[in-house]
Amino acid sequence: MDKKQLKKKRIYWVLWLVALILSAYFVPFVLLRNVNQIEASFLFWTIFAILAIISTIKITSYWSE
Amino acid sequence: MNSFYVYLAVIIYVLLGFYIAYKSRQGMKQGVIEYFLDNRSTGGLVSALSYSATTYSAFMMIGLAGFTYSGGVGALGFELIYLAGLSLVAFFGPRFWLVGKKYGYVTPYEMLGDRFENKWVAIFSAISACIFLIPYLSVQLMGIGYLMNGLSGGEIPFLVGVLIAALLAISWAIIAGMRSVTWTDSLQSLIMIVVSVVILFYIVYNQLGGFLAFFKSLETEHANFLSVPGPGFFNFQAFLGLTLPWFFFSISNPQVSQRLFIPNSLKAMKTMIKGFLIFGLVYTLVSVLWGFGAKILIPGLEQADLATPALLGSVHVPVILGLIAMIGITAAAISTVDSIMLTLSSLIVRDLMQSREEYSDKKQLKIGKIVIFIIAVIGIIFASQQLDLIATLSVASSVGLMVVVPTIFGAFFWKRATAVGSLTSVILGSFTALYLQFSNIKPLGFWPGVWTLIISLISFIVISLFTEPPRKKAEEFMGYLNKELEDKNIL
Repeated sequence: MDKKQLKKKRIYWVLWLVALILSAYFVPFVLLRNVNQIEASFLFWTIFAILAIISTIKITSYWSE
Repeated sequence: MNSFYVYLAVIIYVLLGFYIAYKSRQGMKQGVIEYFLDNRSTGGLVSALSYSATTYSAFMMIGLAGFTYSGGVGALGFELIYLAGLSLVAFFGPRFWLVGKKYGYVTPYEMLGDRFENKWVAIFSAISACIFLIPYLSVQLMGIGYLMNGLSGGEIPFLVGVLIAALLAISWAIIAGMRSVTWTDSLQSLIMIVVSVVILFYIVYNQLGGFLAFFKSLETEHANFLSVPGPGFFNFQAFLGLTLPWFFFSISNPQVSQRLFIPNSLKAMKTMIKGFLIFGLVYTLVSVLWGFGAKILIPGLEQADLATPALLGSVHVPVILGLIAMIGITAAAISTVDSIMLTLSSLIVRDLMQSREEYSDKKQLKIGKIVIFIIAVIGIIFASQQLDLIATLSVASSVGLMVVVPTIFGAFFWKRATAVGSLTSVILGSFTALYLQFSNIKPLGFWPGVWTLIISLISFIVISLFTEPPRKKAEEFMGYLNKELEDKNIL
């Protein structure tokens, strides 16, 4: 990857992660407020964590020794 | 439960731990880097298991389960936002690792002191870490005290549990430093995850009628526990106040950020991150479901922290499983405590005493080992006070440790950052955290973590803009990093 590509990827991933993390506050506290089901906040936060894990692993997959 | 069995289970675990700790010493050389960082040669799997065991403490099965018991599903969101904070390691991990190798750093604060060409940055960051990590360490010892006391029906005094935990942590930190810590951590992480999963499945299938019936019961009996704010604890301010410090845990807590120096390669660091994330997701889900299980099986407890000990000691869990669970939680606590002791020892030797130039490796190691004992005694005294609500205290420590976060960002990403900016940020941030924590004041309803971060961030930026940065060092440090990052495709 050249310098420009690296910078572009860095910005893209940071923006995605910021949006993902903000969703972990916004969705349960605004959209799913008082939705008392297991398929609501419980499921949302689990999916959120899986997406964060996949994203983090993807970022490390670019590394080369 | 008969205290004889509790002691027997502890003895088996202790013997196994000592065997591994002594085994790890074989072939080990003398030296500061060998002792505190395992000679920067830890493999990926051991790094992953040890990182997991160090990060996850007795807080998970006791404090987090207690949070779930009293506050509902918000506990899951809180802990998973922490896990998502590991994405920071995908950026900071290789940066720490690269400069650690190049400049020979042993502690994260040594790195900051050198980057800003000011030893006081390292000294004040280390003092702040000592102030906030010793309560965190004590909380772990208290967890063991409560657990053994609860499970033996009061036969084992609280203080005996605390002392057993402290002695094991001291031993496993001293025998071979980072190497005995990572090896015993690996054993303990496996115990933690296997035990917690097995017991959760036992409870769910034997007592709650399977996962579907379990979720159905939650929806019918405790419906409001499935949303936020739910029963009330997790209002937005509380949630933000709890999650903010924990999101930055992976870079703010020196006992885990120091681990970014130890993998033997970038590949090992990748394995460490991957392994930890999977471990973390499973362990978090198990701890939260455990808290929900306790809510259904033994509702009505006045103290939420007692949910786990009460469930383990109840008719719902067979004696043998209760004992195994106790070992799992003990392992979680000790693997955190010994890492903290070792890290604090390295901070005191390298940063507070600035012994890098003045003392030989041998002398530094001798002082380091004495320091581990002193830290343990302070931890025991603090634990013996039996302060309430484990989780709150544990979070208070994370608030204080967050004060170095702006400095760490500045070190890697802002050439204009200065030592005076960093010092102001660490000192003002620490005072804010201590003042708000002790006075229990929440300005505008926001918790201490929010204000601490705002104050340390603003003071760092403003003061840096008005003071002179170490331009030459910043150029060299960041120039080296940028070249390496480009070569190695690191974002």
